[in-house]
Amino acid sequence: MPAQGLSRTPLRMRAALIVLMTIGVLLGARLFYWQIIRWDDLSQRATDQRDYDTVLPARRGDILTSDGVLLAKDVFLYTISISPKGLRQPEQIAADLAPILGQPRDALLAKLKTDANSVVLARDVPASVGNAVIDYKNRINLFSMSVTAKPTRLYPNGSFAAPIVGIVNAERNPAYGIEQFKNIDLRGTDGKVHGASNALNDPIPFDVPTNIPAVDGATIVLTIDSGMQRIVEQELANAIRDSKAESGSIIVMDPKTGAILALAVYPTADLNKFFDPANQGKYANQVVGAQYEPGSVFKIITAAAGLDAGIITPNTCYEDSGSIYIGGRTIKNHNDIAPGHVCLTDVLRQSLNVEATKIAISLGTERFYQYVQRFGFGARTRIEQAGEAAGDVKQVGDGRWREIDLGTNSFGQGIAVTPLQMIASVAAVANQGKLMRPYIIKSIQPANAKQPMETTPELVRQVIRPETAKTLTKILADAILGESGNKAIVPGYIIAGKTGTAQIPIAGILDPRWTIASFVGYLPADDPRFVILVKLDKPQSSEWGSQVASPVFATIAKQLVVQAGLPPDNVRLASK
Amino acid sequence: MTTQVVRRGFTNTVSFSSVRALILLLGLLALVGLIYLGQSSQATVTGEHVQNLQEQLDRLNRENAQHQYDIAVLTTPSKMADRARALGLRPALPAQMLFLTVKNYPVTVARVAPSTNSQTPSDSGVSSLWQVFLARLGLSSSARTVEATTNP
Repeated sequence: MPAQGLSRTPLRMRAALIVLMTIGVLLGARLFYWQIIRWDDLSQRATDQRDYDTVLPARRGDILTSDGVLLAKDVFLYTISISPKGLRQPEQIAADLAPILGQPRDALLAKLKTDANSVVLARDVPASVGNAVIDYKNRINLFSMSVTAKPTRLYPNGSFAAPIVGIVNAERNPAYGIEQFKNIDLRGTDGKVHGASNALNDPIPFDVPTNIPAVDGATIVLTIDSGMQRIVEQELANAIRDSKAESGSIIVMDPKTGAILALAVYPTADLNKFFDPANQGKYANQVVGAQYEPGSVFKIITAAAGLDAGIITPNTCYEDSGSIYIGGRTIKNHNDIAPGHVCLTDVLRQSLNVEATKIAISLGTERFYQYVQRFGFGARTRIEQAGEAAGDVKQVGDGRWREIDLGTNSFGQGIAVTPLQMIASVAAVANQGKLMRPYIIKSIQPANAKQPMETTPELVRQVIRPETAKTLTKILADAILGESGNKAIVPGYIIAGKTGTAQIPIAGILDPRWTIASFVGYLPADDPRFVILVKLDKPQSSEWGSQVASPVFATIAKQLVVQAGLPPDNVRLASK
Repeated sequence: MTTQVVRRGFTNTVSFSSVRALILLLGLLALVGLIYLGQSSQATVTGEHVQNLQEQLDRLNRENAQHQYDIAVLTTPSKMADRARALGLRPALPAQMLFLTVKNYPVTVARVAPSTNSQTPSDSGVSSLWQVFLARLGLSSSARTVEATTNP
């Protein structure tokens, strides 16, 4: 038996070797197939199963006033949900979560005992609550609970400076104002976390994390002063209430730089309630996006053009018969007055349409519209606000212009401007003829930059000569000071300005019922710090700018000089 | 007998130096493996630590943002104004402001106001103010007069 076995052993071993080798070859081939041929596919499937990529949402940049009042901020709000099926000790969980979530224990227990796959316990709770729930979840290993955080745009001041700021909706899409115009700077860049997770989706730290951190959006500081903004908003609300106007707007600008110091629009709404249907249409910045016929405040432009071109002087006088015939139509003064012998100061004080028309005729169409364009009408100011309108200035030969337009345009009818264009042009007169680009962003601080990017005031062009600007300022100041009952007068300060009462065009005619009452002026007249434009649409208490807009200007100016610490003229000039 | 044959076969074919080299190689491989394992486990521990710190940082940043928002809500200009009013404060009018002209300040200014008396708007007459205003604009011959009267 042993001899027989010995003789057969090599053969069996050889057979076993062959079998083993065959199996080995087959296994090797299979291994080659899985490891080499299917390598890419399988490794990808394994990676997909194990690895995860989580987006790290970038925090949208803050928006602040120049004095640091927070207008817009991104905060993370948490949503807490749970899968109630198979939940152990729901009574205990409800009792534990009730004080954290600030909800009644019974209400929570009812949610935990439902048959739903998932139930939301709390939505949009702040970080303090969300983090407390995460701690609780980790402490008791409550895997069926999910706590998700999402960045949400909140506006701590509600409707304060709303038209300037704009909104970001629930889908994180911006609209209006700075939010839309500076979206690229504000939104930042989302980051990413790459890692591995187990079957419970808990991260497994295999290696040093390959996180791409989120880059938060830039912080934007506005030129708006919160104190001035509050005054202006308050006074606009008062003016709307007193005059029973339909809407209105007020702008305060620094004429030397073009910085917008305050800007209020009525109606407006709480930025946190953009989803409310009642607030639809209340967020657009009407100061930059809505055009209107400015009326007599435009006579400042006509007078500036006449003086600068040398057509008129402060001593130019006219015989005003109360009407003038131009382009087949007759233009009359307001209330059909015929004042007789008047000089330039009287023209502006009495706001005479006939004499404004005469100045425009003397200038000629080409020169008149050259000045209109030089003052910036018919072109966007390039302020950092979404939805800016360019205005509408008819041009000779454009098919719409008629000869009568030269007359009507001279006193601000038949020409559409934005309130911002109007105040910027008057600011040019206040600023020795220099037209500055209006701007509302003081600085932008990117998240990774050490120094903020400051906005530099930008001279658009020299519109009129400095001497012309001084002369016109004197005339405007004289026109106001010479009228004792003028409601724009601010005791202690000499102001320069002009009222406007514009008719509103509707379907090719001018609405006989309603007007747009306005006043634009600046102070101190010799060295202006503020230009203020007040515009009230369809006031009911009086149709005249001198009655409803001028007092608002004075009320605001009185508060602004205190706010800015601007001494009365006699004190200020005495110290020079 | 078979065992002996096999054993004898081994002793015949495998030298001691080869075995030593094999053991050395295995030892080296084990050492490299050990180092790799140590390094990767250290990296894992560090990675977890970094991840925890990152989560902590995110958490603190989010809480910080929430606090900033809460502070902003509590200190809105309208709420501050309401609180100031409740404390009995009220906005000042220009006539209630007291301005002092400081002599020879700033020092670079050549023309110095002689008066150190406080003045309010009610003190000033419109006509004199108008003259000063025109002088400032350079539109009146009274500019020299103003300067002469204000110079000591």
